[in-house]
Amino acid sequence: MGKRELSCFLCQELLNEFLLNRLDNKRREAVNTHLSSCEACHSEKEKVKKSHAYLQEYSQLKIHEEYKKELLRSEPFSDFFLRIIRWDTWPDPMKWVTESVLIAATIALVLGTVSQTVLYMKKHSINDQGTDVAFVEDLPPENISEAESQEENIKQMEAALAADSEDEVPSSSPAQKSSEVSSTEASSEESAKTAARKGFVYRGTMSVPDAEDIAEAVIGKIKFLGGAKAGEVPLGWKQPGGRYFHFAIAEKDYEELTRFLSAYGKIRLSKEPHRRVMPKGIVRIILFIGTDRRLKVKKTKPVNSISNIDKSTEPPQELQGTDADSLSVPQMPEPQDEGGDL
Amino acid sequence: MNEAQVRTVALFFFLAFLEEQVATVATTKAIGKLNRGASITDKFTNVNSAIVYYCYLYWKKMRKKQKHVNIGVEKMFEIPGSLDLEPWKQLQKETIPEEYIATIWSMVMGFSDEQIAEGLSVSVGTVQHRVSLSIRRLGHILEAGKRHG
Repeated sequence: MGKRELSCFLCQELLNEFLLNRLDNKRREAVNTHLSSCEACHSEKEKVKKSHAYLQEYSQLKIHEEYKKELLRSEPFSDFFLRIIRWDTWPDPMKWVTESVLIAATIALVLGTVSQTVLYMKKHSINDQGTDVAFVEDLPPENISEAESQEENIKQMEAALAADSEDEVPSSSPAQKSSEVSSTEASSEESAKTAARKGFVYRGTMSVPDAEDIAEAVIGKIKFLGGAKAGEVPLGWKQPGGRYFHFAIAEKDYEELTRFLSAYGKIRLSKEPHRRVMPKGIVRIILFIGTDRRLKVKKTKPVNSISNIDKSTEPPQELQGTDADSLSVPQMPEPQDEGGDL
Repeated sequence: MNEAQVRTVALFFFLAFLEEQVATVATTKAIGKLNRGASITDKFTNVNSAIVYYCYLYWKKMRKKQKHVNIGVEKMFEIPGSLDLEPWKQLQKETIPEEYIATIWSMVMGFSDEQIAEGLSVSVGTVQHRVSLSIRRLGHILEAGKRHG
């Protein structure tokens, strides 16, 4: 059986190894035999020789000393970073874009700083007394309700009081007063329903000839019923034109309190939704008792001494169904002819 | 790494990229990795395989950033006037990268097929085949260039 001849494909595959003297004797002999008889493979061998010579030149290349030193002393990461930030190696469009971005960023920074400073100065502007005045919206929710109760509520109540005094005169019958209170409450039930998921507050006003006269009695009554101030201001906070009461009281005592207050003047309370939810069984009341001088003029008899009421901290006895003639509680002014129909 | 190894790495990236900036960054990274590579002796049987491995690694990463060819390569190596870079550039265009990379290690650096195979995680036969194809292709390019020249 004769020796199997090498194919051209296999011969050309082995040419590189053949020229590098990496073939064993058997294969070397086979390649030699094939090359002597195949012109194409012989030509291919010459080309591979040239390639070897060409690549040999590359292997002789000398590295520049400066470049080698640079590579040897360079720290990989820092060098890479420095190369990236090297301005002179950046292409021109990139330089222009970077310059534009930097200028825009600087302008934005300056404008932002100025606007922030102006805003800060507005927020913390110094008033005449030299104290800081903060915006209401900066306060936490608890303080917002306080601000409302102390400022906005008083304004609303004063406005309501003014309207009341224009349109109505206190009614003579406490029973009627009670019905008015209840009718006012009924009208506000809808709004209370909408706030069922939230809290509510009883907000109301009351007109008396002189709020100062009854303030102590009202404070005493509230305390007697176990009530306590709910806001930051003291109970019966003195305000121009009246007294401001912001307090919490047991729900079961609400009726008693309204009866007590009705004896002194017409009271209008409405149940309004409020974000603050009170504990079960406790209601919050915001009441402004305003002084109406016209009521004082109309009065036939001054309001009884507050000290009597204050001592007992009980509502006027006429409300409790006793004989009105024997009472020492204030006699409510009768409407005069000219204002009676109001 | 010694100076010879630094030259080897630099020459590989020079031939692989033919672009100074990318080649320098890749060389710096590869040298840094090889200098820090405490586990090289655990991973590879010899340093040359580690050089092949890390150079191949950074070549793959950096080739995406290569946009220009033959820019400022004379800053890296002293290129004699008789050496024409055109056939090599032509070879890069006509062969797949793995073929001319194997050729660099084998024919220019003189690494053994076993070292290259270990570094590239391929068989020795694959290395030999890639080098053979590339060498023959380069021979054709040189021959054609000689005829046209």
